[in-house]
Amino acid sequence: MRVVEQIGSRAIDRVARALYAIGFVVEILRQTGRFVTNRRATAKVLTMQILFTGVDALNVIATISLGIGAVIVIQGLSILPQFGQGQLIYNILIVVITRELGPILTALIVAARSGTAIASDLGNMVVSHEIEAYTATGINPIRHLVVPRFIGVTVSTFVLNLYFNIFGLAGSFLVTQFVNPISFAEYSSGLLGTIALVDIVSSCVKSVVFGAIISFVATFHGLAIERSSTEIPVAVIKSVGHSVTLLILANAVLTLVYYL
Amino acid sequence: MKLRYRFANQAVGVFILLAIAAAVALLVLMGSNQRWFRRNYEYYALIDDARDVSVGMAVTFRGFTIGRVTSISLTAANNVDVRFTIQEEYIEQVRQRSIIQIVSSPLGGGQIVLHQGRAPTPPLPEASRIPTYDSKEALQWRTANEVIVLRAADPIAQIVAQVEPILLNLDIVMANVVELTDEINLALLGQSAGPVAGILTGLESTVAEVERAVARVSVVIDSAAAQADLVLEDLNSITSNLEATTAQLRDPTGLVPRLLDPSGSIATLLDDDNVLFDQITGTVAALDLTIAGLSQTLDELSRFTAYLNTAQPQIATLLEEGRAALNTGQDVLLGLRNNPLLRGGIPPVREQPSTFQGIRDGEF
Repeated sequence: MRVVEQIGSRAIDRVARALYAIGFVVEILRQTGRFVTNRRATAKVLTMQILFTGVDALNVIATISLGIGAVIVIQGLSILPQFGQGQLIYNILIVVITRELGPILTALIVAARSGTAIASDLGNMVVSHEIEAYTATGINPIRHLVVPRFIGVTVSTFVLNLYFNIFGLAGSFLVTQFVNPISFAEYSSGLLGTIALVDIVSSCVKSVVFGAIISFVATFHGLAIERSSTEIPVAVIKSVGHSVTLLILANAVLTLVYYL
Repeated sequence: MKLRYRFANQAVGVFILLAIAAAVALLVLMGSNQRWFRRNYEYYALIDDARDVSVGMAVTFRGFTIGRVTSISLTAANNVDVRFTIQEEYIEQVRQRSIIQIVSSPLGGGQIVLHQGRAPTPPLPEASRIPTYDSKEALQWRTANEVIVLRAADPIAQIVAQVEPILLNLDIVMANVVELTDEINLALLGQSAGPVAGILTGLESTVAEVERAVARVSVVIDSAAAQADLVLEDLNSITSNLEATTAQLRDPTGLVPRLLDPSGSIATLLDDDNVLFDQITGTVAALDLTIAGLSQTLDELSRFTAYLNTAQPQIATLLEEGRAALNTGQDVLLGLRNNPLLRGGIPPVREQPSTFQGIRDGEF
């Protein structure tokens, strides 16, 4: 009887947390609408968030995408021409870089860098009673702390995904010059003739959704800390773990939608 | 304040603007490359099977992509309707008598190849049907050398394109052999209505007729021999009579005086109640009968010879088909034996140097 009671209690607790999370997301979206119309007070927070999440991560993204583009070209050009299917290298580049690895790798890097930073930052603010101070002075902490981070992370993920594509495809061209030199006109013609608008739209949608997920999860876990600084590392770990899980699930769902 | 914090707005602005500019440039280039704002001309083809085509498959001409497959659908007549577009700048290449060929590769990446009509003509009107390579019209045009057919560039596609007709021919040959065997079996059992059965039935009836004719000829020959014996007997008796008559004519007191006598032999001969005349008439009738029998036999032989002459082309055709089937089968087996994909290639032959060396080959 006690076991049933425990299971019921945990189920109720999970449902309550899920409902709370849904309410948290709805509140963020609602406050985002207001932020767009009146952003003077928190514009600097947004700028700094994009600087930390986007601009500072650009070198990491560029290095990774260059390397992946190079590997795809080396592997592809060593195998595909043997079967007379050298043209398929463009399809592989687009599928791997633009449609799949671009958004998910960018999101994982952002989650690892900025998701953890946001969770620990907000957790520290809770522990040091800054959130209470905001509330006491009549400032909505969601609007002034969460929404700029949400927009900043989402925009940064979207823009970083664009850079990932640019560097990935450019990097593959640079490597092609060493393996099988072709003119830029031929390369761009093959690439632009193969890429479809739906590939770009799919990539952009994924990056926006992933950015939103990372910011939702990180702010949620950061504000979920109650009083002790020892809760901060736990919240950071939970933030990363939940972010990665949700990102992979969302990627699977969006890829499925793409093929429907 | 750190420099990056002081110029944070500028850095973020450049960061976002560069990305947006790159995205816009990409979209513009894509639109230009994929001809979003250029006109395409639509044509269609009817094929039997949709397995080798897919939406988006390239339509190529001399290695250039000149169009794309836009849709594939099944018609009410159970044909596969393949709709494809040709780009505006290549529309002049779609001449009258142009045909398309679907080139598929087992590794994917198939394409539709346009083979241009040989005579320079205005382009085909939009929404026209372009015959496929294996269609009857295309075959006629290719036979009449009205189409410029180029060799496929993909080696695997070439092999597949060569193997497929061979296997198809092999199937047809095997089906023909099986059908022929069945037909022969049925014909031998007397249960078929085909040409072979007709020939065999004709042969059987011919043999029966020949047997009957031979029997008739032997009967006629026997009859003629009997008649000839009678005639010879009559001739012998006539000869002996003539000898006796001659002897009596030589005798001055013999036959002549008796003939001249009113009660002599001539008078008796002229007054013998037609006995001698009946004998001669009977002999002539027997000879007529013999000649008629021989004539009938010759007619039978003539009919049999004519029948054999009419049956000869069928027999010759049957033998020729059999020989062609064996030749095709031999070619297929040779092709399969020489195909490195199926047999694992040609085994290397290690040359064994001869241990024997002539005295003349030795070096001093």
